[in-house]
Amino acid sequence: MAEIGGGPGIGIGYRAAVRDWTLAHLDRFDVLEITVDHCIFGGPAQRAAIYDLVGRIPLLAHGIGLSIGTDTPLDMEYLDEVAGIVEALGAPSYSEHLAFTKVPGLDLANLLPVPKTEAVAERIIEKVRIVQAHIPVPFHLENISYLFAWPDSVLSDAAFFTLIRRETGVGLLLDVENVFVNSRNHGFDPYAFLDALPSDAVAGVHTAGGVTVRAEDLDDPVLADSHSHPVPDEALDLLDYALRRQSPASIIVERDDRLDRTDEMLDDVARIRRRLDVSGQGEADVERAAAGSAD
Amino acid sequence: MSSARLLDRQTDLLRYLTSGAAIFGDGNGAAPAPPHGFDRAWLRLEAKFSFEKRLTKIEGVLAETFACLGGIPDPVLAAFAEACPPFSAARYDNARQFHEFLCRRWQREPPKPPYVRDLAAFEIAYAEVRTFTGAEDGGKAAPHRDAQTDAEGLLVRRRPGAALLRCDFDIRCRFEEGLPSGVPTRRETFLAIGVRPGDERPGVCAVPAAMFALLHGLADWNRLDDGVLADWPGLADLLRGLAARGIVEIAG
Repeated sequence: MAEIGGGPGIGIGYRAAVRDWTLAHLDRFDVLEITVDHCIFGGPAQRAAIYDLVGRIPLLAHGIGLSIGTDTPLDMEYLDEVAGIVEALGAPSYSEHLAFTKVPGLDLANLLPVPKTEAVAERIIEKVRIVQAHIPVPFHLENISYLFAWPDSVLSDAAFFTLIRRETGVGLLLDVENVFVNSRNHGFDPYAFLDALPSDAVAGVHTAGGVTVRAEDLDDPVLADSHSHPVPDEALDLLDYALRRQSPASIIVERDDRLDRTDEMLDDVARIRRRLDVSGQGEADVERAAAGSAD
Repeated sequence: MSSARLLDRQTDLLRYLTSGAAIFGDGNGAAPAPPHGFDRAWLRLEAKFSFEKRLTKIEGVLAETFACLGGIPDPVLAAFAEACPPFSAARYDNARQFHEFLCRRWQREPPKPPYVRDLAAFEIAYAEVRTFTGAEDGGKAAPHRDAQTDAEGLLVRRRPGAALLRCDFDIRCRFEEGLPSGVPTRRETFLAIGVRPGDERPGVCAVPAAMFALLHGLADWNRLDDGVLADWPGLADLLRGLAARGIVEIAG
């Protein structure tokens, strides 16, 4: 698969609800990100629509159902399906979340943090190796937004990820919106987080926009990563900063709500392109596919 | 820390986050004590966010039902959360859990308006047809037809994934394009839901009671011989029409 020259490929997460609009505006994107679980659990029509994109634009594979942080063996049947989908899409990489969503019998379907300890990192390292052996493209882990921390967490987000990367070479799918949201909700310096990452660890970038909510039991308003609004400038500032040391192959704008506001989605892509132009990253060659990881 | 202990802690955490009390508070509106060491306020927010996300999925499948009920009161949602913790991330699975919960409630206390029971059953059946993958069929092929039997009758079965629904009310006005929207009439109605070959979305048609009974008996391949076809004028054409709508399959 050809690589993008001149900078990261910029695109959106593909959503069935705006399929026709996406097809009509395919030339505005360098890449689309496919949620593999939509291929597995969506209906036949949804799957067909996704596979219809193969060959028309580079496609990245991103999952939400692996739950690598659950302290049980990986679901190998699920991984088999993911492997098939990655191959069918021609995806240059497969990404998931550094999180857990379920335990046997209970599925919250929401991304939750794991205790950030060396012992938990070791368990995740074992599983990353299994994924890497099972799926023949580079594997990346995404940092999540979280509302709470485990009481026994002792490592920072960056240190926890770095521990896993050091042993496995796994790339980071850097979600700059999640870094921004977490820094505001939990009071840490987001730039320090970026500084603490190994250089060239970032294989791809996610960004999105959320909302501010007031919770009756909390004194301060809370930022929620709702994927529903334009990307905030603060998240793009973090992107600028990250690109000084990192060379991601792709930047994806995520949107899961208010999908009728496709104007906002296009504007987000355009803002990112302008930021890249200003920073000297250059525009991606729209004729070429997303590059592999930075591994 | 042993492997079993972390999983136990994760399980305790999820049980807390999916409990009605954590999402909606106890009788006094307060959240119960969280697992040891966690912040109660942040966990409560997580529980609420996760439940709202779950409810959005359910409402996506049962949109007309929710609209018809004018919303679901918090005590009912809290009872649902407590009685039916989520076992799956899939929209259909969560919607089916909620539908089953409503049906149990409606057995004790009939719903208002009364036609919402049919509406909910329809939306669940429609969603099931829409997400049918075919794997459940087991790939049953049509029986072999030889030269002697080829000209005799019709080999037909209900198309795998198609659904049949008997309703007390004619609810077509709530979802059928071209019909004025309004209050469904109490009139026994038999609906068949299927995906026309090549289409993305299921289609719905009303069928006579006798056809509904026939379709019910066609779970597997059946030969309708010439005698049956002669007793029911137009049956072959009706079945071909239903085949075009993805309700039945005709072999050969």
